[in-house]
Amino acid sequence: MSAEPILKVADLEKEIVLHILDDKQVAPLRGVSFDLAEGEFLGIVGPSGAGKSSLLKCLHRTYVADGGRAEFRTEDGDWVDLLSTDERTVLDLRRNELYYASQFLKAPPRVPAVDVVASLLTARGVEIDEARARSSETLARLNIDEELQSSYPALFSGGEQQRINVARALVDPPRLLLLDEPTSALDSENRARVLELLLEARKAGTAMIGIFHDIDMLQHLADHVLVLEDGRVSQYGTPDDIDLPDYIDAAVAEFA
Amino acid sequence: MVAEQTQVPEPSASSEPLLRVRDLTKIYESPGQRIVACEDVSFDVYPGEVLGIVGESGSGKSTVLQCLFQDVEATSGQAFLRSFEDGERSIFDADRRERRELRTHQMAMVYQNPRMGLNLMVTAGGNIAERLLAADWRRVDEIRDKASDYLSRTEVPVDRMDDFPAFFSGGMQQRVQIAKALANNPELVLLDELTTGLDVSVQAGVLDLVRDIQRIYGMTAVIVSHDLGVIRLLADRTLVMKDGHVVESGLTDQILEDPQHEYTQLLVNCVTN
Repeated sequence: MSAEPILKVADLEKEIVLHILDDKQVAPLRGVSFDLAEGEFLGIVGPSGAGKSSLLKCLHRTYVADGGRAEFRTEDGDWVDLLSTDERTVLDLRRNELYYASQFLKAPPRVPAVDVVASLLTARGVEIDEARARSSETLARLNIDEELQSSYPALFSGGEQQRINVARALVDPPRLLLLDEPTSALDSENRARVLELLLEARKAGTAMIGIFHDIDMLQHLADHVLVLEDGRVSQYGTPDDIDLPDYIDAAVAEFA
Repeated sequence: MVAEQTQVPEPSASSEPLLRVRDLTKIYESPGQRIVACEDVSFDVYPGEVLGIVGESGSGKSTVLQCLFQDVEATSGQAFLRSFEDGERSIFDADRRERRELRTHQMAMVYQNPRMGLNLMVTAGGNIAERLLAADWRRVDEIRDKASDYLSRTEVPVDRMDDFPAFFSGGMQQRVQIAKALANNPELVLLDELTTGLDVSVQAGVLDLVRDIQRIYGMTAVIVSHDLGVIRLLADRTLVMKDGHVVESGLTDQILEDPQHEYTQLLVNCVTN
């Protein structure tokens, strides 16, 4: 890959001190480093509790990192350390360049699905009518029909909520997309539709870091795979280079 | 849903703060007693941003708003509003005339208790007219148009415009109060526990209203609440107060998902959802 780097993560550390549990300490990340290029997809694999979600949340600043750097090249060409830059800059990047799709939809209550997606576009300055039209189109590609689009996502099934989440992530692909098991509740037909949208976004230059338990998705999407174990990188390479650990197969077996 | 008319002004990370608060302190002193309501509270609010202040009763969060709106006099500290003397002189140094103008033109407060912000024995339309008159509006027809415009934006039936808010439900009183506060487009809106004491379904309506107004008109606001759900829904950044001090501040999702301070961890773990 000759594309320009967009993210350089070095020695990322995260520690959580639970004051309300007698200062119990957990260290989900113990020094994680990797680079990511424009249009590159990095798959993150690891057993439950290895620190996968913590990694994405630190990059999104939902978690406060305790060490290391994560230099992100912005659209303007500046390098910004996502872990330490000021909150205003983080909010600005989240609005325009950085998106985190969590495993579970966190939609505001009493807002129709189409507007849950469209609000992302209007925040970026798109007129409301156009925003709704584009959102509706993306939702339709994810098998969310017009009737569902005008309903409140709180009433939806887990799989439907997850597709609203994916629509938010991909209606206007950001420069860096963080995906936290975005297809865990989807059947194969819907997973294929998500895959199609993700491939389009990757082709258009979106850099992605995605947590997947699904080996098919990884093999179709990932340029590189990073295996996290106990907060450290245990393997890094192309999907063919690395030994995918046993728990991946086990997870896939559950779906099959 | 509020009618969509104007576009949100594009917020930008490089813009200057609209409000800068430095070392705000309020101490109530009487013979033999000294109560620190808030001490050394500092923060910035940027244009188009909603800043949340969360904390339990007695934490001093409402005192911060009362000092900013100058319902009570700060003991020490400074607050600079961009539109007041180019943000170079503290609003606490304003004279009486300037203070009145700050309260009628530049800032607005929405109180937990609508009785504080409304005159219940003046009609709903009259309440809004009061605020517009204070802000130097003079034409009766314009004032009436504006009042009906804002009542409809806040979903108060316009045919109730000539009724007394004393006979409105709590939720509708709160809507009238919001309409009154926003009618002359204040630069900064202070919202103090605006849904506390309302039924859950009514709370939802008031919150949706504030969220729509924020989204569509790009309102700049400081919202004080003990309810993390309200803060989650409305605030981009949040301060956590305890015993008169700011113990933690950060992005709202970070405060909720990775609270650093012992007190915030306790607060977040008390929420049952």
